[in-house]
Amino acid sequence: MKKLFSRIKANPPKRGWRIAAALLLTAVLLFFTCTMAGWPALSPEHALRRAERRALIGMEGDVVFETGGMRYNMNATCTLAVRYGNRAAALFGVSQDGPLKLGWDRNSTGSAYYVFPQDQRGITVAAFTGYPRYMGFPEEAMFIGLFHDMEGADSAELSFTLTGEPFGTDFLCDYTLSSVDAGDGFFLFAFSSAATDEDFVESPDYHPIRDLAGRIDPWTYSQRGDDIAARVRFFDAAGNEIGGGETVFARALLQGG
Amino acid sequence: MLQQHPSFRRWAEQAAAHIRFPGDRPAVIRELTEHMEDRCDAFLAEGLSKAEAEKAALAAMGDADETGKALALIHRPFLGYLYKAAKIALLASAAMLLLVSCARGFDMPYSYGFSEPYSDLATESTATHVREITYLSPTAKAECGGYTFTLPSVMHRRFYDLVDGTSHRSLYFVLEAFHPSPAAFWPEGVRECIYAVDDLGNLYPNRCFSERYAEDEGREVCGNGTGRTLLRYRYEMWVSCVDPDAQWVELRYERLNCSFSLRIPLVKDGELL
Amino acid sequence: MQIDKSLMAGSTTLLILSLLREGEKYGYEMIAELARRSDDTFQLKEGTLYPILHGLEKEGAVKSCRREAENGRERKYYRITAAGLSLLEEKTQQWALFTEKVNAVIGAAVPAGV
Repeated sequence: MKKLFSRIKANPPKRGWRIAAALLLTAVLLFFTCTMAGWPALSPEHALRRAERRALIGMEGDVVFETGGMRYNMNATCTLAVRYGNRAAALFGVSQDGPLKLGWDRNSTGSAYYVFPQDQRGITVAAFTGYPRYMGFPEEAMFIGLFHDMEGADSAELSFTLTGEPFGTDFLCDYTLSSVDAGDGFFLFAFSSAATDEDFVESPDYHPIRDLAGRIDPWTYSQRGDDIAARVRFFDAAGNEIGGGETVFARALLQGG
Repeated sequence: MLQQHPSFRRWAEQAAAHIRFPGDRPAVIRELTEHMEDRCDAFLAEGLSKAEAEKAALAAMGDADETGKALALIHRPFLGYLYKAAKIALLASAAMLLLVSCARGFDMPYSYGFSEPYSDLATESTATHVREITYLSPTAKAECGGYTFTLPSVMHRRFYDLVDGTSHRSLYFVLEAFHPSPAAFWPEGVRECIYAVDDLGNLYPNRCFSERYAEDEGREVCGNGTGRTLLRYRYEMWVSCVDPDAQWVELRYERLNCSFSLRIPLVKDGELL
Repeated sequence: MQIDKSLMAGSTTLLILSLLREGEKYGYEMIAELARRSDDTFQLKEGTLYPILHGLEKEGAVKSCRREAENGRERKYYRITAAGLSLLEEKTQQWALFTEKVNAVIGAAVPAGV
């Protein structure tokens, strides 16, 4: 037929192939979006599992307490109290500070996740500093967590003494804190200063919080000094003292356990 | 040609209007209009006038709605809407990538790729010092917490200061961690807690951040993360003040449920390095 | 002589496919060829043709492409595929069986007594 040499116009690729190509390209772009966003965690607990993995802890802890509705630098923030059986416990803070506030992550190359060993009486004092700020404490606060096995305890009291170096040779101060919140075998304390942000550096409370923070972090504090003793008292709902003990204040577990 | 007969196009559009997905309509309209052109040309060839041919062609087509309904049964809108949805998803993900990149400042969140460390050092002997360098490739491999650890390169160094008669032995190594998921990130626990022992029972503790390490150059393990690819992470680390008679050094990690060890033998061909 | 439309209805696909078997055609060409071969008895309506063509294309019995026609214009050509050929064969066999049985029931082609 004469049509042999007529100009052929090819069909565009079938619709099914075009849909598949579009979906594949979407997947690729989403992958790069996630990579640029730093692969944010989907929830505070997901962030915790990731921190456990990065710290090479090798087991999943039980979340015994979770704060919510906190804000730090305008980002939604959450603190989790985690227990590793009867061997150790930890406090984990995380906030939504990724690009576009997409996910829960401590962001950048991973701040250390400190785990605190449990002592023979089943009491562990764990702590971390500064952020996230607890609801109702607009000023600088250090979070202290008390993990225990005391049944029937409704509230608790934690006291410790800071003396001498590096706070100053004549420095001696007792601090007693009452629990502000409770979970399953857990009490939360906040060690905060009465000073506002501007005066904080000038106030006499500045050094204790800052230096106490340094002692908890085994890497940033060059001279750790002796361990600080923490005295714990438990109270029932009526206010009667039902038990207590003494333990080490927040000494992070680095090896073993 | 199509402009000559707008009535044809109107008939085709009326029929095609029954097709639910709008993207399918243009091709059908085109085909129907062309058909009517051909019909009209055939009538013109028979000798009718232009207006009569046009009317006859339209009449020959029949009812636009009936044709339209029959076509609508064939051209189902599902794939059409799916294609549109896929296109929207593509545009949305492109916009998302742009937004996130802007929010982040367009840098990659980490530097990519490995560099070769200390591979150009060699044994040298001068008047003041002697330096012996040996490269090792231990086959040690360990798994912990989903990561697989290997030692891609190890450099053994003995330094003899001829001036004051001291000697120093150290190991520099690259520790590589592999994890099958790109979301795993740096295994920071390694840098904080890994320590070493040798066959003579000496302990080399981890002293990465302590300020003490600068003053007291004693036995220690320390290092930094240096680079990563999608699934691999590398730390450049060292063990310093290794005992001169040690036959092997073992890197150890123990923390809660995770523990592993990587042994670096310091004997080559039966001879102590 | 006009044919009862109800008789046409079932066999349009058969007619179209057999037209395409002889080479690719575009829409109007099919109608013209059909009218020519049947001495204008089969006047296929466009309202019937295109839905059937598009349906066949969806089934995979025919394939279409745009091509330049002899008159210089561009037209959408349809050609039959292997699947279409087997469908045509099936329909031809069905038609042969159908006519055979109908003829068997009616009896002789010429009615008695004429």
